[in-house]
Amino acid sequence: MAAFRGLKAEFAAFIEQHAPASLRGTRQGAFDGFWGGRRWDHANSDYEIWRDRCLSSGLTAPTWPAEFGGAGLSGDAYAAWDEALIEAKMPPPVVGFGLTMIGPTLLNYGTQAQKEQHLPAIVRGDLRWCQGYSEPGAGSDLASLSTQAERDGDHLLVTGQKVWTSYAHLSDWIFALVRTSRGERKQQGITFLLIDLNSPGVEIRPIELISGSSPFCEVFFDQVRVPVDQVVGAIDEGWSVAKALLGFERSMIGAAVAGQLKGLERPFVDYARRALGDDEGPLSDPLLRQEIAGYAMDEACYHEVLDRIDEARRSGRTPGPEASVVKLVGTELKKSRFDLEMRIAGQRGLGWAGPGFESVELEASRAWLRSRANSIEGGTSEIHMNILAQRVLGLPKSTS
Amino acid sequence: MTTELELIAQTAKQFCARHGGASVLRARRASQADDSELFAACVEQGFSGVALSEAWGGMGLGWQGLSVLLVEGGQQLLELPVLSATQLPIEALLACPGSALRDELLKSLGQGDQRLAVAWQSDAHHPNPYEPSVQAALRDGQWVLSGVSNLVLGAIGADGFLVSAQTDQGGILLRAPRTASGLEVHPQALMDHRNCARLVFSNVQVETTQVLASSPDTAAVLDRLLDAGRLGLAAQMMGGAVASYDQTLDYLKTRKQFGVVIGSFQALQHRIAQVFIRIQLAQAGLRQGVAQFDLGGTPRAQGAALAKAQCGEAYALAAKEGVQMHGGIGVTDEHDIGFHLKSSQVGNTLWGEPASMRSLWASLAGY
Repeated sequence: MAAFRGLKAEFAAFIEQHAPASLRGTRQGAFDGFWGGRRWDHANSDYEIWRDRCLSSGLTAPTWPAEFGGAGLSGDAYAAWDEALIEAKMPPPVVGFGLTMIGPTLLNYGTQAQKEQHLPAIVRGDLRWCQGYSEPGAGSDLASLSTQAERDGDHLLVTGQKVWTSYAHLSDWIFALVRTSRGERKQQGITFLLIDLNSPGVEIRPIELISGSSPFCEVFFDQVRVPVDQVVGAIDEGWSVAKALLGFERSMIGAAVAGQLKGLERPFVDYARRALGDDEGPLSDPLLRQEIAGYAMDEACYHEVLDRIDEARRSGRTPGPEASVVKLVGTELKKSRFDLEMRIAGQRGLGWAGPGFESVELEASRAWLRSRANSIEGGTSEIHMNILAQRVLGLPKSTS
Repeated sequence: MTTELELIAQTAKQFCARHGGASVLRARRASQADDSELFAACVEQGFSGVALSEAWGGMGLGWQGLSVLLVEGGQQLLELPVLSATQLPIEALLACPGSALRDELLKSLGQGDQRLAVAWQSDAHHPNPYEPSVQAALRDGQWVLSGVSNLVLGAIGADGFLVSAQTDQGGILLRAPRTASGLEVHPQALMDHRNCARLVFSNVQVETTQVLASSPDTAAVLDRLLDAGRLGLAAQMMGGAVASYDQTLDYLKTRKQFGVVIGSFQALQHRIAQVFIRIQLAQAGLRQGVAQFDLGGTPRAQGAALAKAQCGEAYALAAKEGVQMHGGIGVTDEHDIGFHLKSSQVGNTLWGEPASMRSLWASLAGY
């Protein structure tokens, strides 16, 4: 623990010395920051200055090996860095799916050439990645995907459609699951492929959500030529790579959600006092009071579980069964957080635009709408309950 | 976990497996036997002093140690008398001002030399623990007690009682021996058969030397009793929740209908998954409540409220869903899952159901 504190103090000093003033105190979550890529808007060049200053110490990809531009930190040291960033309210120097999803997958399954081609660009934030998994006919039943890839010499010709691709319109490359053959089981014949979105035949269309914003896109492929050296793992055998990446995705979502569900009791109470016109004492709406307390209790338990998992990992132990409920609890809790915010907002939470509403109120309503997707994306809560029942509780595969 | 805690966990598991289980509960229900042998066996293992600090002759493992014991008990439908007959009186005494009587009682409770029960509740639907229905008046240099104390846990077999009474100067806590003249102990059969009695005081005379606390000190005593009682029930309920869940999961894996095990139906898989999730969260709540109790100070009340609400809801869910998923056999007396339904109702109702725990939490957090 003393070593941890020492390390954290060193990182805090590093941040103090190098963090550009315009970014200090701006951190909102693990995914606010420099997403990079060719379409980055460059509105505030301090993001790139902060990236450059961290890059020379390998701190944009703290746990990756130095060979690919990382700092080779242990899990414990990484936690010290992360805590130092959070305390200084500094955004991480680089964020995105390259670092959290495809990077770790390539480190485990990529060829040396693939690592050398892609990892340094991710570490610098030069290229932005997106995830091509779901299709119109393959949502929860992901393995029934049908985007085709036909062999043509040393290329694959990809034709088909992906959907729910987060930020495809801002990305440069996509890691996609494509079908190269049909085997006895639908999981056979799937190939994990890296595709440059600048390739001819790629078309991207944003999807407007009920919240009015569009983080998601549809991606269409029409005879897109992809070199076979961009296959991760073996042709036809991408399903295990795909599942490993889902593991990384789950921990990423878990980390992002956890940061948004902390210390909300006090703000809820303050907001409720303003909304109800209560100065002090018990809230005048006893049911709302119950709901806030109920939320706060669940939040306290959720974080106790997260801390316990962290502690187990840091000391090299495998976390207990509580680890299997984190995504489910986190996303459901996140939805109840926004439900509660709307409950307090009352009629002032109904606005969509224009006068009569404060901008925070408009943002909150849209955030509530956006939160309905939390238990759908990254595997629906129902799919996660299937997985929990079958893999953790040992129940047989569902028959109906 | 330290080795001492590991040891107590191991001992507790073996002890509760040997002394507990539904068949033992059924036998006790039929014979209406008291729990004096069980108490003696607990004392032999040193369980009466598990939480008590070493300064008082205890093992000094705090609630971290005691809760392990209570969870194991709950899992085996075994009501360990060390909660109501030992630890709750100890907690009350620890909050009393120093006195020779207090010190003597603390030591003997920790050693298991005697068992006391705390008599503090009226027979209201939702008793206010700060308003006891026993009246105490000073006459000829003695306290004279009259009234009723309801649902006194651990009363059967107790050597004496810590009685919370009302005087015209506020609350008072005094020790009354079991044999006091005018004191009647009427066993109360609860649906889960835990050790419980209704005490009737008819002009019971108690020496002034038996006063342990009087107003305003009694408020702190009752606070501490409530916190400890809630935490103790939470630990018992956690054990019960785990047992209900385990039994139901086993049943889902073995019971066949339509030619397949019913655990292959998604509707049931999701329901048992929800129970599992609630239990994981409740365990976190219990760990927090225990840690805060052992730290001391004001967070005790909030931690106990958290633990009781979370463990209570998890137990009620596990038991109710357990009964439903067992189908017809689940509502028969022949099957054991019904014991958990009854026990969860008792545990949830005593000393504050989940909704009032949330209200308490809100009050403590200032809203």
